[in-house]
Amino acid sequence: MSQTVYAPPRPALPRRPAAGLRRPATPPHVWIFRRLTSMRTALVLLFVIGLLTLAGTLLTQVPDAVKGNHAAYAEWLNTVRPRYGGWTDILDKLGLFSVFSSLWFTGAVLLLTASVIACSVRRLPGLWRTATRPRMVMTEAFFERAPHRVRIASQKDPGAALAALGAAFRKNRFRIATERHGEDVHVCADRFRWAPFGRIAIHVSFIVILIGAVLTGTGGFRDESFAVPIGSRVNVGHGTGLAVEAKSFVDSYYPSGPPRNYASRLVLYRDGTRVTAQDARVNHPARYDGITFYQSFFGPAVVMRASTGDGRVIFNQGVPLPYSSRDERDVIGRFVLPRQGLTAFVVSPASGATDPGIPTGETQLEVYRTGDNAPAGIRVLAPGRPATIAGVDFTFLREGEFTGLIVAHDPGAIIVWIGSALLVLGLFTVFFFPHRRVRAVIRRGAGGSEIAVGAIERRNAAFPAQFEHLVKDIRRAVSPGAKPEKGGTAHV
Amino acid sequence: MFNLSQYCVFAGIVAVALALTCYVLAFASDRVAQARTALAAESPGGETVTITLGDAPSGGVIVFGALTMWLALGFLSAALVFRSFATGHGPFANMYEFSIAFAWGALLVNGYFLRRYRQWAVSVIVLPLALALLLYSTTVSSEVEPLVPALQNNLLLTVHVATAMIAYGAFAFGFAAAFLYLLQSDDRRRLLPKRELLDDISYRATLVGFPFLTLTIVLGAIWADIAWGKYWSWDPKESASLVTWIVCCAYLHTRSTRGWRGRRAALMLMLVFVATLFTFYGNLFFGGLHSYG
Repeated sequence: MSQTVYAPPRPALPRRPAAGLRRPATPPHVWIFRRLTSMRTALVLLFVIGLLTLAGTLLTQVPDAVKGNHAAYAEWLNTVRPRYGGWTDILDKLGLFSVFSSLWFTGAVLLLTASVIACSVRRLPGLWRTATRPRMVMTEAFFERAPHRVRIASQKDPGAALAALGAAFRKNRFRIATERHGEDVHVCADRFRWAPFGRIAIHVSFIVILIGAVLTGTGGFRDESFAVPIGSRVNVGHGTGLAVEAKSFVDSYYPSGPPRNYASRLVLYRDGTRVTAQDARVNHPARYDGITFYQSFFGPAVVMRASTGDGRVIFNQGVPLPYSSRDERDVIGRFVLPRQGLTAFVVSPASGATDPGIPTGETQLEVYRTGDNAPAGIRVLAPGRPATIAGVDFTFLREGEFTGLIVAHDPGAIIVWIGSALLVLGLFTVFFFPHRRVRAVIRRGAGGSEIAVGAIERRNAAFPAQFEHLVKDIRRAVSPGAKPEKGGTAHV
Repeated sequence: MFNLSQYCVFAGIVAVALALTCYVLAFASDRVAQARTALAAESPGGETVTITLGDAPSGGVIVFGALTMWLALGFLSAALVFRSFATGHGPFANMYEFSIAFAWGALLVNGYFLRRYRQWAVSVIVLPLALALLLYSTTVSSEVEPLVPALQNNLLLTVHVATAMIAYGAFAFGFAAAFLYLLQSDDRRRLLPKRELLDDISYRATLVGFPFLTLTIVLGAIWADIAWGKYWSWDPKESASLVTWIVCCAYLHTRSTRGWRGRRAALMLMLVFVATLFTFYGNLFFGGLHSYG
C-alpha cells in the first residue's frame, strides 16, 4: 500500500507496560482475530503448506483407486516398503503417503483461509480510504523531506498554474484532486489508484478457488472407468438419465511407433432419445449438459448373448474386458443378469499372450449366483456355440473392442476458473500497474506562484526516472520558456 | 528449417559465450585498474606508475558484451521460431526444447532489465546460467519426436510453456541479482551495482516472475482439465510448481509486511531459484503426468 501522508518517525512505545500498570485482558475473539491477521501466522502456515507439498512431491503418493480399501492399501504399502524401509510405517502413520488429504494439510489450508479472510477484512477499509478519501492537505515538512521532491517557480498566477499543473499530470495519466487551504491549493495526483484492490482480489481468489475445489470434491461425480463396448450402449447413471453408445473407436500410430491419436465416436441418449453425437479425442472431450466425456483408455471386449430356456434374449451386447489377471496372461470383464441373480465373468487371453486353458479365439465364462463364492459353472466358449449355465444359455458371438472414458460432472471447475481469473488479473494489476501518488502544493509567490511537488516511493529504482519525466512535463507546463534548473529534483 | 534452427542454437551458444567473455574481461580490466590505482597511491611520488584511459574498465567491451547478448537472444528466438516451423508446434515438447527455451527466457528477462535499469553486471551471472542450459541441450536428443495425443494442443502447449519460461527466466535473473547482492557485501565493488539497487531489481524480477508463474499454473490447470479430465491431480510437477509459488509468495509477504530486504530477501530468492530448478528438472526424477522428453 502506498503511503498517503508523510509522518516523521514517532517515538517508539515501550514494548511492556511500565511497572505498576496492568494491561487489560484481551478478549478471546480479539486475540484470535489478531493472531489470524498476523503476518507471522500466515507465514508459518505458508511454510507448513510448502513443506507438506514438498513432501507430497518427493514421497510416492497412494493412488486414488487404492484409498479407502484396506486390503489394497496394505498391499500398496508393501510395494513401497523396499523404497522407504523402516520409515514406511512412520510415514504412513503421519499420513504422508496421502499428504494432500491429510489432517495436517487440510488443517493448515483451512487456517490459512481464515487468516486470508481476516487480513482482507482488516485491510479493506484502509484501502478504500486511501483510494477515495486521501488526506489532501500536506504539511510543509512533507515537501521538505519527501524522498522525491522539487520546487518550481512560475510566472503564472496560482489559478493558471493549477490548470497547467493539472494538464501536466493528466498528460502523465494521473488523476488529480484539489483542495484549497487558505491561499494554498493542495493537489493529490493518483495513477492506478484502484490497483491496490488487486491485492484484495488476489486474496479473495484464494478463497474462491478453495470453494471450487471443495465443490469439485463433494458435488458432481467422476467415473474414471467408464468402458463402452463398440456398438453397445451403457447408462451413465448418477441421475443424469444419459446413456452413451460408442459407434467406433480409432487408435492410430506414427510410423515410428508412438501413439498419434485415440478417438471415439459417441452418441448420447437421454431417456432413450438421441440427443447428440460427438467425437471424444484426447484433448477434445465430448461435452453435453455439463457432463464431460474424456477419451481415457481402450481395450478388448467380447460380444455376449444370454437367453432363457424359452428363447427370450435377456442380454445381447459387448462386455468390456478392462481388468488383467495377476499373471497378466488374461483380460477379464464382467456382466450382471439381475433378474436371474447371476454375475458372469468373461476371461480371454490378453493380446499377444496365450493361456493353455483357453484356446485362441475362444473365451471362458464363469457364472456365479449372487452371494455364492463357488461358481455355478465354468465353460470355455467357442464363437456361436451356446452353453447352458444355471438355466441360462450363454453365447459368445464375437470379439470386439471397448473405449474407456472418464465421465465427469464437476460443478466446482467453473468456480475455480473464476477464482483463477481473479488471481491472474489481480496479480497483473498489482505488479504491472502499481499505484503512484504524487502531491503538490501551489502557493502565491513573488511574480507568480511557487509549486512544490513531492512523492514517497521508496526503494523503487524505476521511480526516479518516472518522477523526473513528470517533473519535466510540469516544469514545461507551469513555466514555459524557462531553462530547467540544475539539481532541481531531489531523490533520497 | 530443422538445420536452420540447429545453426541458430549454435550461433546463440557462441554469442552467449562471447558476451560472457566481454563481461569477464570488463571485470578483469577493472580489477587491474583498481590494483594500479592502489599501487599508484602507494608508490612515493606516484610518477613511476601512470594510469591511462585504457586501464579503466572499457566501456567498449561492455557495450560489445551487451550487443552480443542481444544477438544471442535474437539467435535463440530465431532457433525457437525455426524449430516451431520444423515441428509444426510450439518448441516446448521435450528437454532439448525446454532447455533452449529456458535459456531464451533468462536472456529475455536479462535484456528487459538491461534496457530498463542499464545494469549489465547481473548478466555476469545470468549468461553462465544460459550457457549451461544451452550446453545441456547439446547433450540431449534434438530429434523431432511426434507429439503424443496428450500434448496435441498447440495453443496451450505454446502459451503454458512460454509463460513458464518467462517466469523461470525472471527467477533466474532474480537469483543472479540476489547472488550479486551477497557478493557486494559492503558496496565496495565498483563494477557491481549498489546493494540497494541489486535488492530492488531482484525484487522487480520476482514481480515479473510471480504473475507469470501463476499464469503458467492456471493455464496448466486449464489444459489438465481438457486433456486429463481433472484440473489438479497433485502430479509431482504440479506440486513442485506450487512449492515454487508458495516460496515466492512467502518472499513477497516477508518483504512487504515484515521488511525482509537485503540479505534475508536475497537468501529467499536463492530458495526461489532452487525451487524453480526443482520444478524444471523434477519430472526427470519423479515421472508423473509430465514425464515427457
